[in-house]
Amino acid sequence: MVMFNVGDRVRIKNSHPPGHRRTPYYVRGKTGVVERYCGDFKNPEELAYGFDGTPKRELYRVRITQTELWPDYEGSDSDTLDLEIYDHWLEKIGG
Amino acid sequence: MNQRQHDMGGMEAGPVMSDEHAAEPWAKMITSLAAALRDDDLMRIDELRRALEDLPEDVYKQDYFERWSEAMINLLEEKGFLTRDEVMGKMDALKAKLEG
Amino acid sequence: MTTDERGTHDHDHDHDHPGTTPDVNETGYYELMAEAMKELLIEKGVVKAEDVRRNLEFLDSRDPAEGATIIARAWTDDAFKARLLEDGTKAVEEMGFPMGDAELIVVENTDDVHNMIVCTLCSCYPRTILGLPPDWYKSKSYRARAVVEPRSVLKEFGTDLPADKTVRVHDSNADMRYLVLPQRPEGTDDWSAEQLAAVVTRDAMVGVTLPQA
Repeated sequence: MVMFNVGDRVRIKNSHPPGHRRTPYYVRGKTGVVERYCGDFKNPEELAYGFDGTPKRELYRVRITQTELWPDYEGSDSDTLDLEIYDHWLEKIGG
Repeated sequence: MNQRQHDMGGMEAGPVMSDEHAAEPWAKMITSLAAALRDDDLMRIDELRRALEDLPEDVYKQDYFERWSEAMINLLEEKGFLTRDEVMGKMDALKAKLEG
Repeated sequence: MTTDERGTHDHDHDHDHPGTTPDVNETGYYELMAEAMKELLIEKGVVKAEDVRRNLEFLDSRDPAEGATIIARAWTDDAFKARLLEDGTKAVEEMGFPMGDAELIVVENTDDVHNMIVCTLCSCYPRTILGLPPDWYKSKSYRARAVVEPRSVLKEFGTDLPADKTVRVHDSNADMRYLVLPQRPEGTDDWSAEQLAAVVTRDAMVGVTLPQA
């Protein structure tokens, strides 16, 4: 039973913890749609400091429209930015 | 919280310079050394990335394999495999051999 | 980095550093550093010379021309293409490309969609398929701008896309690695897989150019 389903609208946490994170700054606080569940992987935020990275985290590809990310985006409204986000960085939003 | 030096998406930057040159032998060697360490689980790619991200700004601004090398020394020292002093000393010895 | 920034440390040799320690501004400094690191680690029994050698041979064996054979096969074998898009890791392993701990997602260019790959955080790249990434892929310019102004960056590579085409930028920021499956060029219907592979460049598989017949 995974935490998020394809098509779920999600928000990436607007959190800025110090240390090694694989959630880029430019997507924090942004909303997108779950494009696929990638599987379970060891947590890089823990691996980076010598821990074994378990329990594994669920990894999802999230699709964000470029116009959501950049106020002056030059391109099509349909252009997207797809990237991988670990479950603990995601919140489901209603609707 | 500021955007960290390695977290580059959206930063101001100039045109992409698409001219390229093949990696030098030492760069390929250091990559292979890192791969061998990772094969034996002595070093994780995540640890190396973290060491890169934590480099002082002036060191991070160096070219790719140069900053990789600096990060590797720091990480290997952290793990107790060698010290920076030992590396510098070995470099002296190698240089002396080349010159003498 | 100076030694006094790290507090006390053991000296196991007698000479002074200043004046004899190689200068970071000298040619060959990093070449010396790499050699020194390798020799020390081998002397200390941390790694074996043959393991470094084996990894170097593997690295040298990787070439985008090999990656191009995956694309050519997808263009000429519909069942393989379906497998490639469904599970990239398994499909390329069929052709002898090991992905290791990473997984491969193959993204298909169509009449409506163009795909482009970047790693904004470092330089994640499908190395077993394409070899070492080019300098530009690792550069600040590409990493910073590919996500915010992909069409401008594509133009710098000579790739001009119609305004109504959807551009998808994939930031390879975690455990997935990406390969772009470009569209097969017009007028190649009777081409062999070898002929097709020859027009698939590394840049097309990263998504900054289109193959030209």
